Amino acid sequence: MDSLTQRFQQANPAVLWLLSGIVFILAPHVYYQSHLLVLFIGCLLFWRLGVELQYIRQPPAWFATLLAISTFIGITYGYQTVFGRDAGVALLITMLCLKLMEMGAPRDFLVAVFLGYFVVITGFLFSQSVIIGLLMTTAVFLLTTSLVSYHRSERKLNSQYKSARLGINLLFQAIPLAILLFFLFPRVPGPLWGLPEQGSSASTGLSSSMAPGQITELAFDNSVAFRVEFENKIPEASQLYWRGPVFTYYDGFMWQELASNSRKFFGSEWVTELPPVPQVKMSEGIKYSVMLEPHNANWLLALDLPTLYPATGYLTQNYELLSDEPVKKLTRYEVTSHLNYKLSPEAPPANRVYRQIPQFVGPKARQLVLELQTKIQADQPYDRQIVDLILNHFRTEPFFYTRTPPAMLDNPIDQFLFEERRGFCEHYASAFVVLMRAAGLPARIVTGYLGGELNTIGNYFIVRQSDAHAWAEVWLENQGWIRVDPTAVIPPGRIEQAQFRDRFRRSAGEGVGSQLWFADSIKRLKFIWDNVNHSWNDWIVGYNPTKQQSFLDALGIKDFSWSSLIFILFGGLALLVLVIAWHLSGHTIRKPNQAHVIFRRFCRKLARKGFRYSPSETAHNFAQRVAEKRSDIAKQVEEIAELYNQVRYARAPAQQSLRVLEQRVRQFRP
Amino acid sequence: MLSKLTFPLEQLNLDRFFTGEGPFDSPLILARRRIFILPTRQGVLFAIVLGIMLIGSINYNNSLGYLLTFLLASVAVVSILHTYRNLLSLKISVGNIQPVFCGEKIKIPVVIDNSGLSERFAIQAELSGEQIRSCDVAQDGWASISLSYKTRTRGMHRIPRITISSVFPLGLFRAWSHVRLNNTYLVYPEPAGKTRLPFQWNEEQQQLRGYHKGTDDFAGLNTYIPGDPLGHIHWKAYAREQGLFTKKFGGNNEQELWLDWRVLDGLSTEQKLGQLAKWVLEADKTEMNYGLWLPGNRIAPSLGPMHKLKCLKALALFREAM
Repeated sequence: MDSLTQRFQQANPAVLWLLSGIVFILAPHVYYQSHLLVLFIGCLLFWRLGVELQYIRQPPAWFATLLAISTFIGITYGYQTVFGRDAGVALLITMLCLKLMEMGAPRDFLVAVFLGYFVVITGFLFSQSVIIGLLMTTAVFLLTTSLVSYHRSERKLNSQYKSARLGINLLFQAIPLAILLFFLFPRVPGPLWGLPEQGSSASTGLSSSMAPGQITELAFDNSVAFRVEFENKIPEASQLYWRGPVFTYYDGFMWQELASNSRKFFGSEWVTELPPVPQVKMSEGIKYSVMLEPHNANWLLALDLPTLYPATGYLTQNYELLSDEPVKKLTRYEVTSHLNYKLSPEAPPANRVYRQIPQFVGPKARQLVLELQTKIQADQPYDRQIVDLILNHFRTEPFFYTRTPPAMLDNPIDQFLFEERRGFCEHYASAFVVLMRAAGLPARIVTGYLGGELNTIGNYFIVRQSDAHAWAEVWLENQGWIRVDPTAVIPPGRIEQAQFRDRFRRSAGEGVGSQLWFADSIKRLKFIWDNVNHSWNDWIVGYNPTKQQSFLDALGIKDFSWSSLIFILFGGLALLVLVIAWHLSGHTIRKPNQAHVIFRRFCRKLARKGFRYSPSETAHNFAQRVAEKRSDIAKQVEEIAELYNQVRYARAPAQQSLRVLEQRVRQFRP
Repeated sequence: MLSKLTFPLEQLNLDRFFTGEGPFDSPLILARRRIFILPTRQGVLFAIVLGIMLIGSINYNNSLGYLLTFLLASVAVVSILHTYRNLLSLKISVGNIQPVFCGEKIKIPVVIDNSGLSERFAIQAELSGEQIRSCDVAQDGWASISLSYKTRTRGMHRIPRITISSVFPLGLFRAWSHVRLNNTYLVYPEPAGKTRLPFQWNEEQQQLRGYHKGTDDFAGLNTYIPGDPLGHIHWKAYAREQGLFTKKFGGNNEQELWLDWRVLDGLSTEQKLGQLAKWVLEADKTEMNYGLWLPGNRIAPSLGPMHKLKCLKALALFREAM
C-alpha cells in the first residue's frame, strides 16, 4: 500500500489546486446555505479527493448523472423553486462539485475552473465584506494556479511552487489593470431588469412599531447601523439625535407609524399633510455623508432636522427621511441638517392623531396629570410648565433604567408609571407622550439612534444597533415641535447596568475612560479594523455612478463624456500593458553564453601562439590539433575543451564547472 | 495627410500568418514579428463567462462583482503577454536526421535553445498536422523534441514546416510561430520485390571480375579502418586485447555480386529501385562484395556499412535521364 505522501505525488497537482480553491469558494456558503447541502457538498469534495489519491475509483458516468438529477430534484423540492438567489446558488454550487466527478477530458477540467470562477461571484450576492473579499481573492489565486499547473508539462508535486509563483505574478500584474477598469469603466445606474426578490433577512435595531410593555430583554446588538463622516465641524454629542421612524398612533399597547396609506383605517380626519416648512435659525447647516448598512426598510437616518437630502429620498410630515426603495444594500447619501430649527410655531398641528389616546388607557396617568396641573402657575406658559413637572416627576420618583424590564401587559402605561417603574427608553418615551397628550399637548414618539462612537483613526462616527433610542417631541406654543428626552433625566445612580450608566452623558468621542493600557490598545485595533471596513465600503462596495462622478470631478475630469472616459480608460490600460510587457521581455534578452565568452578568451590566448580556432571545428578537434603540436600544454588544453563541452551543452546551468573553467583559462599560459 | 496613414497593403503578407516565412538556415530565432497569438476555444468560452459576469454585476450593481470581473479580464490580458513571452527569443534548430526507408517514420530532432533569464514551460512542437510534443526549457538551457513523420516518397526532402506553439500559462491564448528551415533528410526507396539475388553473372560482369579480392579465402590481417565490414573483424584477436584487425580475403573463388538495373526488365522505375534496395540489404548480409549498376551511375563492388549507405543513397537520389 502506498503511503499518503506517495499518493499525493502521484495525484494531478492541478486537481489538488482546484479542490483547495473550491474549498475557499464554498467557505462563505457554509454560513448561508442549508446544512444538508453543505454536508452533501463536503462529501462530494472528499470523494473527489479520494479518487485523486486513488483510494476510490471514479464513479461511472451513469452514477454521476443520477446524482445530478437527484440533487436537482432535491434542491427544487427544498427551495420550492429553482429561480431566485438561494436556490440558484445552491444549484450552481452542486453543479460545480458534480462536475468534479466527471473529469476525464481536458475540456472538463477547464469547464470546472471557469464554473469555479463564476461561483466566486455568487458569494458577493450574500455579502461584500472585507473578509469575503479576502477569501475570494485567495480562491481566484488558487484557481488561476490550478490553470497554470494544468498547462505545464511537469506534473511533479515538488515543482508546484513555480505554478504558485506564476499564479501570484499573474494576479499582481493584473491588479493595476483591474483597479483602473473598476474606477473608470462607465457605470450604469439601476438594474437592467427586475431583481428577483431576496429572502427577507430580519433587520435588527429599528422597527416600524413599538410595544414597550411586551419586551422583557433588550438584546445587545453591537453590529454597525451606519457610519457618518462630517464635512466640517462635528456637532456636540448631546445633539446627535439620528431621526428614524416616528410613531403617532397608540392603540393602548403598541405605537405605530401613521403611514399615508393608513388613511382608510382612521377616517378622513387624519389626513396626510405635506411637511411644514421649518424655520431654520440661520446657523450654519451641517453637511455630512452617511454610509447606511442595509436594513430592508425605507427610512434613511438623518440628524434633526434634515434640510437638504438626496433626490431619491423625501420627507414625511413627521420629518422622517424616507427613501423611494427599501435599503437592501449598502447605501451612501449626503444630507445637510440644521440643528437649530423651529417647526410650525404659529399654529398647533391640526392633525388629531397627535392628541389621540384610547379611552381605556392610563386612568391613573390621567389622574397624575390632573394632580400636576394644580401646581401650574398662571403667569408662566402652561405647556412649558407641564413638561417640566412631568420630567421632574421622573427625576424625583424612584424610576430606574434597565434593559431587562418586567412584562407589562394589562395596562402598560399605568403599570410602568405606578407599579414597576423600571424600563428603558421606549417605556419612558411612551409614558411621557401619553402624559403629554393627557395634558392636552400634541406629542409624538421619535425613534432612531443617539450619539455614536468617534473613530479617531478615520475621523468618522460609528453608530451601532445598540445605540438605538426612543425620545419624544412635544408641540409648544411659539416654539413649535421641540425634542424632549425623558430617559436622560434618570440620574446615573438609578441606571442598573453599569455599562450603560454613562450612555446618555458621555460626550461622543471621549468614550469610556479606561485606565488600562490593554483596553486602549484593543480599542485602537478595533478602530483600525472598523476604518478598514469603512474605507472598503466607501471606495469599493459603495462605488456607484454618483461616487464615480464625484471621483472624476476630483480628478479634474469635468463634464466627461463616455467617449472621453473610454479614451482615458484604454489609454491607461495600454500604458500599463506596455509597462508589464517591457518588464516581461527583459527576461528573454539573449545573453552571450558565459561558457562561450570564456572559451573565446582561451582561443585568443592560443591565437597568439599561432593556433587559430576555426568555427567549423569542435572544441575537442581543436584541442587535439593543438595537443599534437604542443605536448607540453596538451593536458591543459584537453581539460579545458572537456570542461567547455560539459558547461556549454549541459541541460541545466552548471555553475560549479563554469567556475572551474574560468579558473583554468585564467591560469592557462601557452 | 491621409494618404500617409493608409495601410501599405503590399506589406500585408498573409503567407507569413498562414504558412510562415522562409525557409531559413537553422538555427532560427523566434523574433517578435515571427510570433502570432490568438485566443483559443477555451479563451472564447472564458470571454463569454466574463460577459455574463459583467452583465450580472451591472444588474445587481454589485461592486465586488465588477471588481472580480475586471480582475479576471486583466489576468486574461496579462496572460497574453506571458504566452507570447514564453516563445520570444527561443532559438530553434534541427539536429542530425537519420535517413529511413520510404514508408517508415522519420525522426526530426527539434532543438529548442533558451538563453533568456526565465524558464519556458510547455513549449509545443508539431509537424504540420502530425503529432504534438511538448517540453519545458530551463533558463539558459535547451531541450530537444523528437518529431516523427511518415515518409511517402524517396529522395532528398526539405523538412516540413515545424510549428512551435504554446498555450501556457492559462490556455486562453495560443502563441505560435511557423518555422521553415532548410534542413533536409534522405529517404531510401522502400525495399520491395520478389526477385532473388542475381548470383548468375552475365558476360560483362564476368569481364569485370578479376581485379577485386573476394571474400572466400582468408588472406591475412589488416589494421582496422573505420568502414570495414563488421563481420570481417578478427574478434578473437580483439578479445585477446591484441588490437582491432580486419581479416583479409582473397583467392580464386572470390565472388562478386552485381546488382544490376538492367536485369530487372519489365518493372517500373520505382519497382526496380525498391528491388535494388532490397538486394543491397540482402547482399550486405551475405558478406560478398557487391556493386551497383544504375543508368549513369556505377558503384564499384565493395562491402561494409559505408558502402551500403552509399548504394542506398544512390538509389534514393536516382533520377532517370530524360
